[in-house]
Amino acid sequence: MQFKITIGFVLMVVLSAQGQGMIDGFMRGRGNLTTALSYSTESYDTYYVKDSAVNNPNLGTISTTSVNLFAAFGATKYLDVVIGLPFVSANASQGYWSTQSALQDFSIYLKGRVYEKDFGALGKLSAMAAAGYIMPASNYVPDAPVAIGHRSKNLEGRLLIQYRLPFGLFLMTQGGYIQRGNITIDRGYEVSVPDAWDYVVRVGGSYKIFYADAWLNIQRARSGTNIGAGIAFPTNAVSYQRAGFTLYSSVPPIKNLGVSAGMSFTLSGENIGKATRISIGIVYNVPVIKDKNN
Amino acid sequence: MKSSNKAYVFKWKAAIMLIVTFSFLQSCDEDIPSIKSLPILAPTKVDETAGNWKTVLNINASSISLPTAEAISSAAYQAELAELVSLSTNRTASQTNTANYWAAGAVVRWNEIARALVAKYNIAPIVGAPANPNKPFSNPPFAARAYALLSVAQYDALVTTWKFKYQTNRPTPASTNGSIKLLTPETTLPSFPSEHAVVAEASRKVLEFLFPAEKEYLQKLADENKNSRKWAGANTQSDLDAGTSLGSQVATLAINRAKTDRMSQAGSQTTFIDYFNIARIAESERWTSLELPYRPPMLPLYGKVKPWYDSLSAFAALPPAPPSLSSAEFKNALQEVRTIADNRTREQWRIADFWADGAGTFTPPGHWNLIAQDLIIDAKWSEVRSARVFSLMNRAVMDAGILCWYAKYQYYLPRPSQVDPAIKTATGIPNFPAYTSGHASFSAAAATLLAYLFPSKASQLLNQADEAALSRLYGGIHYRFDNDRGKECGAKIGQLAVAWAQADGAN
Repeated sequence: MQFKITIGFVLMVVLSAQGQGMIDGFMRGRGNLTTALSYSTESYDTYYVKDSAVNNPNLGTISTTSVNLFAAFGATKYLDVVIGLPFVSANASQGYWSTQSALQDFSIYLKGRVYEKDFGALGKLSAMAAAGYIMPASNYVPDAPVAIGHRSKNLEGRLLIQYRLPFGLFLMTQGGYIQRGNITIDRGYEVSVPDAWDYVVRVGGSYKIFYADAWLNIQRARSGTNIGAGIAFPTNAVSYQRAGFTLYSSVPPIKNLGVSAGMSFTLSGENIGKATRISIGIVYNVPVIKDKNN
Repeated sequence: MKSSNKAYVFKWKAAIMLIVTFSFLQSCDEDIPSIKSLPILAPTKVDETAGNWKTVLNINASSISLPTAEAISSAAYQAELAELVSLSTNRTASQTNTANYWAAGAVVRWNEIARALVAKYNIAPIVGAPANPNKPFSNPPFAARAYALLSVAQYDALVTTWKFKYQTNRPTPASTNGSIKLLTPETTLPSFPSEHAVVAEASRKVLEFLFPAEKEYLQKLADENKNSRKWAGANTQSDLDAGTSLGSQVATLAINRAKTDRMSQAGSQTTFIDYFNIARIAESERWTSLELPYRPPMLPLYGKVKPWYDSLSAFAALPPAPPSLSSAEFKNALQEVRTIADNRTREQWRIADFWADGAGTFTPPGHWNLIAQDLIIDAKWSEVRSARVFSLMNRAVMDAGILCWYAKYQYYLPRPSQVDPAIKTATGIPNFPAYTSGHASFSAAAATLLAYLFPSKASQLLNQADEAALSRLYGGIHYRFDNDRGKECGAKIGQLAVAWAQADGAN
């Protein structure tokens, strides 16, 4: 069972900086706490206005860096609690818009395994459901060309199905709905932040000291505006298709320590930057409760 | 093992149901209405003598020709009343909604419509694109003129309307025929000509002059506004026809003035260089566009556009030259902008954004129209007195803008970020010289006038104007002296408006 614990966190470490990929198809196991600290950098000089790609010489390249704290705890064999808190900084290489740096959004998820079937030599099928609550951790600026997030309070529901083959190979699919609450912008009125559907497909292999995966993430806004003069940025309908990969290795001399790295690419999108992201992280596993059933 | 799995399945199903339910509930709360609901106007005074108030365009009522009002007892008028009985008693839900919408006041609703059009057209054209008369760039100076022109046409038309109303003295349809199901409050205001039709037609015509591509949309709104009065049981067809005629004639006078106010030359990108002798300013001290690619400055000859109030008195308020770039005074002012930009608080950012009213919005003059609208609605003033507020204020706002623009090109002062590129902003850098601040000028003019008309709100209004000016320093795009001189100039223009208001016969 030990390798199961090792794996789950990796994805989050690499991907969770902006609330993405917090939920994977592995359970921590009762009493296990995974903590991680990661660093991500992403940049784009092209963004989509609706679906047409444009450059803006008055913004140049927008770069975002984030430092993310992450923890996942196995409360029971069937229930994980996952939290994340990133500090994000965004700046533009051209023009005069001020850099934005702040604690972004605190997120907490409960993830439960609701079904599992062992096919013996053929593998194992499991299904999970997760519910998340995301809230801004500071009063950051959401309505500017250079911004670090929407500042909305979100509710998320997700369903996951994972099939694990022998030899550590796995296939995971998940679908979820992100319900984003209205926000009051600095202009002095309330605006609606669009809800979105989110889907992830991930294939990979997980082993005791090593993990690798490749994934595709599709997010579709349910409604919303397009980037335009006078349009409040948080109301835009943000949709995208992103793909990426993740690598993890434990650091053998030090017990329970690992390092991770990953990349992601924006394949296409609407009202979002065509960003490429690189992430690295360190991971530490703390067996809080010794439990022989684990 | 198996049974505990089942228990979890059950719990998670329940949890998912809860999430779905909660999401649904929260989405219901999320709906933000696109049309602002306003109370039905029930004026506390009808302003019987408003027909004697001074008009801006010196309207001579005897030169306005209107169809004759048929007698109450005439068959024609009785037929009109019968139509109102039928329409008002068979009012559909959608007609009731429309009638309620317009019953908030024609002046207020057409002001809102103008603000929405300004926002829609407030998009800078692509650099180098030829001017397209169907797509005017409704930047702040353009908007100031648009609001002034609209408000003047509404006000002059309504003053003339009041004159005709009390000459004709036709009682309201509902007071003549008790079977009319009136949606709006009972009033003693004579109904011929209909003040709604007057405002609808005057506004439609002026806005079509400003935004020619909106012709059909505006016609649809004007028709709806007029029809709403029949659905409400408030005006008959001949009340509306007379109003349409009157509104149209006064709008023509307003448009004629606009055709000769020199706005058509305000955008010239060549003559201003000579007119203001820009060459006398050392190149290093001269304003330049910070946009990529270089964008020529906004409306450089707006300072020559014809003002509304006495132009000699207005130009006496022109601010003195700003400190030279090499002076200690300037360097201190620049350092203040830099210090604020480097240590900007969240509250300073909020204030910068609250008053920014940049691209795609109704502009700072539009913001003051919104502020005035709320005051007017609270005050429950008649249509003509409401129009007076907008007319007094928007003329002051435009004149303050004219002076401000004159100063901008006369002194051609660089923005803080041009002098110190390390100054980062919380708002877009406007593409024209810094001195004086347009926000400070517009706001001080508007607040000075509104403070006179709404004395119980005076200190609040002047604080708002101060904050609007400060917002530009907080945003990192203006020196404090831009704001201070802009406010002084705006306040002087505001005083000209106050003097006009003291003498227009409405007090």
